[in-house]
Amino acid sequence: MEDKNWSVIQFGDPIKGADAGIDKAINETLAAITTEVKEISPTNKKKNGGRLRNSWMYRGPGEEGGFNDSPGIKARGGDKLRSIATNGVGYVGSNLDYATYQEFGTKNMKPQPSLRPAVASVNGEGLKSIAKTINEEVKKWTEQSAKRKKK
Amino acid sequence: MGISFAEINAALDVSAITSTLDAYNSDTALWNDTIQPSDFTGKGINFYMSGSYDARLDYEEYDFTVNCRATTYSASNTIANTVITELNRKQYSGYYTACSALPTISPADTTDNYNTIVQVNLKKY
Repeated sequence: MEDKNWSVIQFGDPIKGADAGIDKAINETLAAITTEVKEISPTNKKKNGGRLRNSWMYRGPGEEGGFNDSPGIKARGGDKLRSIATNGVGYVGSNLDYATYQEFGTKNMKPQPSLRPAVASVNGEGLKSIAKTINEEVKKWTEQSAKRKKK
Repeated sequence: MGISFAEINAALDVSAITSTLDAYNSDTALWNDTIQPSDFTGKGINFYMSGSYDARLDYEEYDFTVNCRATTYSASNTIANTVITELNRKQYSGYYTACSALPTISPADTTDNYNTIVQVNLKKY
């Protein structure tokens, strides 16, 4: 135990940095998917449009957002994502019951997918930014320790 | 090169799968479309491309959504299971398919039916 504390004081805590980096990267990815899905989401511009767009939200480790932050009709409040985002997990979703039918269609209605294209669009870019964010956080956590040591 | 539906059509149009489907106008209820005909109410499959196609790659990759529709939950599941059995990790001449399935979507109203979605990833080489 003493050895571990000594090495953390001496060289910083890259494990905490990596954890913080993963959480930050997940939240950034979720925010990017939510932004993209809102862009693609079908909206009735003539009458009462925007509820579906406003219903998209994300919940990541210690952070949530996206809900009712766009123009148009607001989605009903108080019904946010209830899934608990633990380490390494995050969610993007809607609180509207017809979002599933909009995404996959019904027997009589053609699908207008928005979530799947949004995930596909962010997918490739995400890996680079995740690696970058983790590296930045690890650097931050090891530099903090180095500064403490100098004092 | 260009967007091609021939391979997914050939993979789905096999007797193991079509035997689980009903007939429509003396043909099998299998459509390359986003929706099934409004006057059809039986067991059927419609499929469409649901992922982006990147023509810059030196190989071709597609994502297809296969809607396995039926009036009952179990019938919809049976079709989806057959599709997975036939297409998952399957090597064809010049292409390969792999599957994942989503939970069955219940009918939106009395005119709708059950839909079990199978996502098929197809790679051509």
